[in-house]
Amino acid sequence: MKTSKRYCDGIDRRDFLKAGALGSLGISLAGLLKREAEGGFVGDSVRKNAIFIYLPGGQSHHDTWDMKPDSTDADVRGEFRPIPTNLPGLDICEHLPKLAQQADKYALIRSVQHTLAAHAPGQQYMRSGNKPIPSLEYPNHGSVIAKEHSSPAGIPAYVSLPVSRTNGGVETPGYLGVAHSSFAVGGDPNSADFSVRALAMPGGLTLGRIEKRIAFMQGLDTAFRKVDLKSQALDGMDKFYQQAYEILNSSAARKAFDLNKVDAKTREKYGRTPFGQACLLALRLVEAGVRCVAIDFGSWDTHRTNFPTLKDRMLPAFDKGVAALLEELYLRGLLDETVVWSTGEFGRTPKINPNAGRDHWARAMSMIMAGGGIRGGQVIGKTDKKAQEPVSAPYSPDDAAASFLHALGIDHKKEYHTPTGRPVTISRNGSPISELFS
Amino acid sequence: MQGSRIRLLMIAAAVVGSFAIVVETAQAAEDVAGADERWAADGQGGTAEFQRHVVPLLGKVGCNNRACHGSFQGQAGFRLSLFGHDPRMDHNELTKDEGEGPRVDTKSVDKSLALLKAVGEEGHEGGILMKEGSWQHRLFRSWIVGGAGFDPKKEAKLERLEVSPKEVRLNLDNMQQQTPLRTVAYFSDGTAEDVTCLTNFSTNDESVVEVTEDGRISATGSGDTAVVATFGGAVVTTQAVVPVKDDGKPFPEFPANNEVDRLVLAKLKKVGIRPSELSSDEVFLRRLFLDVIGTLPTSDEVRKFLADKSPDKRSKLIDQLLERPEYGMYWATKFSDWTGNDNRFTPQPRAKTGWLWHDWLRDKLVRNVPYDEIVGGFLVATTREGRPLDDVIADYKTIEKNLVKGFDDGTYARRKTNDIFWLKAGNSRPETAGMQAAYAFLGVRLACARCHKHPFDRWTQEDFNGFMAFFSAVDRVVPKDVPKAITKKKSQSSFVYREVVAKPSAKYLRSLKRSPPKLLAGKRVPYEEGKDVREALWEWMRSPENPYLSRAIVNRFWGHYLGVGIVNPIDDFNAANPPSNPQLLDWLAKDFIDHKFDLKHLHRQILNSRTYQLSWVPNDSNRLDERNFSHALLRRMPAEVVLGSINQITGGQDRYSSSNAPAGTRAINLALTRLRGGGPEYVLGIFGRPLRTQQCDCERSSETGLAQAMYLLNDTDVNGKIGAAKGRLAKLIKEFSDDRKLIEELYLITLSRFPSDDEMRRTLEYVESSESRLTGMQDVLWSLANLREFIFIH
Repeated sequence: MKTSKRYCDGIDRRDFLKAGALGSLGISLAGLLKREAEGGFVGDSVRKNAIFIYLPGGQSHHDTWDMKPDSTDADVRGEFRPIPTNLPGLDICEHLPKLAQQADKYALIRSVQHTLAAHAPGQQYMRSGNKPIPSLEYPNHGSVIAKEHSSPAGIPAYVSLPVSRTNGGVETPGYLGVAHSSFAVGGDPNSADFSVRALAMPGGLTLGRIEKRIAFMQGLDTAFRKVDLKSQALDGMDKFYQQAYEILNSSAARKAFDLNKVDAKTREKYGRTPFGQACLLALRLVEAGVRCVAIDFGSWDTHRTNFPTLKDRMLPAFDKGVAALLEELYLRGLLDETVVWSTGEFGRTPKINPNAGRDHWARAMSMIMAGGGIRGGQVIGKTDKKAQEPVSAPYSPDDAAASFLHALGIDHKKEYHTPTGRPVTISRNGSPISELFS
Repeated sequence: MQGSRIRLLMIAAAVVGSFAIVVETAQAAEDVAGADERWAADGQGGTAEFQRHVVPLLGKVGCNNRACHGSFQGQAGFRLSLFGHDPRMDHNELTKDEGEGPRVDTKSVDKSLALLKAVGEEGHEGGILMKEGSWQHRLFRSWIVGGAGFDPKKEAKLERLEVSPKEVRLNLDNMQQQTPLRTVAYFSDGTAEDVTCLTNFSTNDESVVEVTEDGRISATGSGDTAVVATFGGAVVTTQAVVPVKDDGKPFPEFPANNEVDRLVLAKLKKVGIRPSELSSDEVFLRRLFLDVIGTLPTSDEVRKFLADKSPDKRSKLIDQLLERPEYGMYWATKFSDWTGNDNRFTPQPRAKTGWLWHDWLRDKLVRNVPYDEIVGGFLVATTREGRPLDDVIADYKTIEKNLVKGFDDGTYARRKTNDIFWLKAGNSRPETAGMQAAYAFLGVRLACARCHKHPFDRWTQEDFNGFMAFFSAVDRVVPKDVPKAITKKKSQSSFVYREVVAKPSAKYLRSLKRSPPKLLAGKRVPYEEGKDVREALWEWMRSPENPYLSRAIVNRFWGHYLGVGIVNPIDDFNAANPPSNPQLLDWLAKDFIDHKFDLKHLHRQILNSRTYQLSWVPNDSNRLDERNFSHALLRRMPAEVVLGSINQITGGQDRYSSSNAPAGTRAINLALTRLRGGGPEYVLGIFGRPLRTQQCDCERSSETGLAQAMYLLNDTDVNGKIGAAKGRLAKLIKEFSDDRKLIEELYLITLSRFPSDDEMRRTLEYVESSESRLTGMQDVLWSLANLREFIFIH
């Protein structure tokens, strides 16, 4: 596999790194970074990015995207009222007022259906586009995207922002292996002392001291350097050290992560919540060249006190963050090349349980997708009077995944091989939902 | 007939004379000429047989592969069985009138859709697969002309496939020349046929030899590999050897420490590869500690070993390490990987029962229980193990109480059998438990055979179902004689009383009677009520004749210590993946059986060999060798060892939630794959600790990755541990006032060796030029931990 990425002067980055690996790390890096500063990369042939907003726990579709205000069943109606959106004929929950004003940007799919109404399998399904099986762990979308679309030097291809990690969701590169795992950024991006674990430079470390250490270390590494040995692992480790150092040293990455430099008004627009600031960070990372940002925001598992939880805790942050993200992507002209998908693992029951909550419901759920050629301002699919079951042709999580990848210019039928040599299609059973792109 | 025989001899003669040495030629003469000869001209050859000719032809030209009509969805409405494993189905598909009508037409033969598509006259996405007027076309056509019949009862069955020569030596000086392979099939009616033209050939290593479609091998680089030939579901291999160019340098001394070395040496000589030197004492010591107990030696242990002048100090050290408590910890982790100890699915309380499983293994390993007994501990586990109910209940009460308070005290670990394996959620499905056992104990992957015949091995769906039936003869119940008080569930996560009994549920009882379990490639075992049918499986596995059990474990140990298996991937024994050194594998397996499945004996056999103790520094002739154990391979430390080593050199410790692990748990002894409420899950994850969901040794990753580099380079964990006020370095700084002594100590604890003069000079200079002694020494410790010499076992 050869990437199409080349420097302006035509030197292949791979060759450059190879040449660099022979010399001392520090020297070749300086050159590399200088080059980057001067011209950077021409770019990939397909330059598409993804922002995957995952809602662990499962968002209640009745109380957000698929309201049934005319239902005779009070449980189905719920406590919230619909409001009109900027798309004539579409009403959504009153607690999503900002998203109502962005309805022309996204497509709303109301007819997704599956059968895995438990968190862990449901999440594995939704995060990978494959029904989980015991003998194989499928990679998350981000790992696939990072494998297909590379990022510039100093920028990790796949960053995950687990604002909250709940309900057994496991982020995994699956059979693609650790080389395709995400650059995970813990912590609360809304807090003043937010720092990225890998970039943090803990305990009084400075770049200068790290550089000094590296230079010293390189002077010592003679035993291994003088032996001419073909070792993939050894070369690999060398390459990753270089990358790690690039990221550490890259002002682009550092700048993108440094939310304290963003003006207060912009930060306010996304909402001063961990999730809102994660959305802001996602946009900045995509601008810097990250190819997939995955945000986990939960929990939506409202088995108890469904309405106050949604109204007070979940929906305001969700509304503000996603609406600001979509609007900003649009205003910056990034929406065509950036695909945004927001989904949980399932919808919730039409019935309200004795704890004033809604339980798991996989037979109908709603999700939104935008950007990358997806036609915004449309509603796909319809559910019955109780929003229990699609009455239009149902789509599966596989179809949703295929659509997401399609919008990213990735063939979901592409075949990978597991380490055991077993051929596996990225997402075997889905097909892109054609209305999204018409 | 006579003609083709003469031709073969001529080829053999040419081969010997010109460019290669044929070590062995086929002895059997074929009765029937090859299909290419038989249908060489119009009006010749007679009617082709379906299973014998047509199905292999469809395979040879590619109709029934996975990307085409062999896919489970078929292609363009036409589906064939994958690689032709089901001729009956293929015959139906071709001849039965479904949808678009039959694909063959015996009345107007040349209008047959299958023929038209194959020659490209009708639009065919798969392209032109046969030329009109070719022998392939004539063969296919002759079958249609003859009525397109298939009678599975009448057609002779394939009994055996042979390839010749069995071993081919090629020469790098003559890379253009090709050595032809020939395959002969032997059928149940006593006939034999040259099937070379219907055989699929492939090479296991393109960087050593290539093979053309019609079976001609040529060299591409030095080394050795297997060329695989498949016909009619049978798989055979030829060994191809391309010796390394002789550079005239003498073969080094290689005094054999034991039989392992003699067998390795024989192979090295054959391939023309010179082994590396013996490793130095420092390198050996560090490697041995990391490999046997997943732990770095202390500075005193290094000093003591280097100072020891006795000639048998290496084997004494091996014996000592096998007696260390870390031995049980580290290897219980490995056995937990293989047997699938995944605490997402062990019974409630899941984290705690994951420990029961791990500690059960640890107990067996520390006591060096024979391996076949350990395997039996899984295979024929029951809760009662034939003990009186009162004893079983007393144990249950103790364990239950222990788990409420914290962790078990060894009551479970001392049990003979491990019933948690059977109580694991997924293992209630016979296929899941059965595939796990086949993978763990036999090194065989049966997953393919679940849906179709294994493409590269003998396993059919019948083998699969028959094997899985053993695992259906078990139930999880509360028998009537158990007092009610015992079974009362206290909370969601309490350890409930549930027994594993060797008695199937009603559902499986019926199917067991209908189709009894079948041993792999062996006989059926009738199911008798009241008897544990799993015993037969266990007896079969532990029998000295069993070709899988001992080879699988021997190969796993070898792979662990040498970085690559004799069969590699180490858990993929199949007909198309022959061992690189069969004599070595066989000898180790036999020796293991002769020593009554003694695991520590097996460790010692490998560790005491000169082969294991070779240096990692390659020479000109073995630089590319990763298959013949001519030098030690560099291996990145496994996840638990990385974390443990960082902790060891910094004095750091990881915090675990008290419901996950006892305080002070070492990473090499961590039973759980998933942690809740903190702990070093992140670090273990980025270094590839397996989640134990896949039945594959490859799930434990030894790859390197960006996150690993970031972790070592700049993570709070590493830096925090190095700089900790009460950490190891802080103590050492106080203990050693002399910089030289301190630097020496830091080298010893990280790299297990003394610094060279040059390293000492550089390090001293660095510390002196640093802001303070403290920051300087911190940088030194960090730098040593970031050296590849540190993270790679070498």
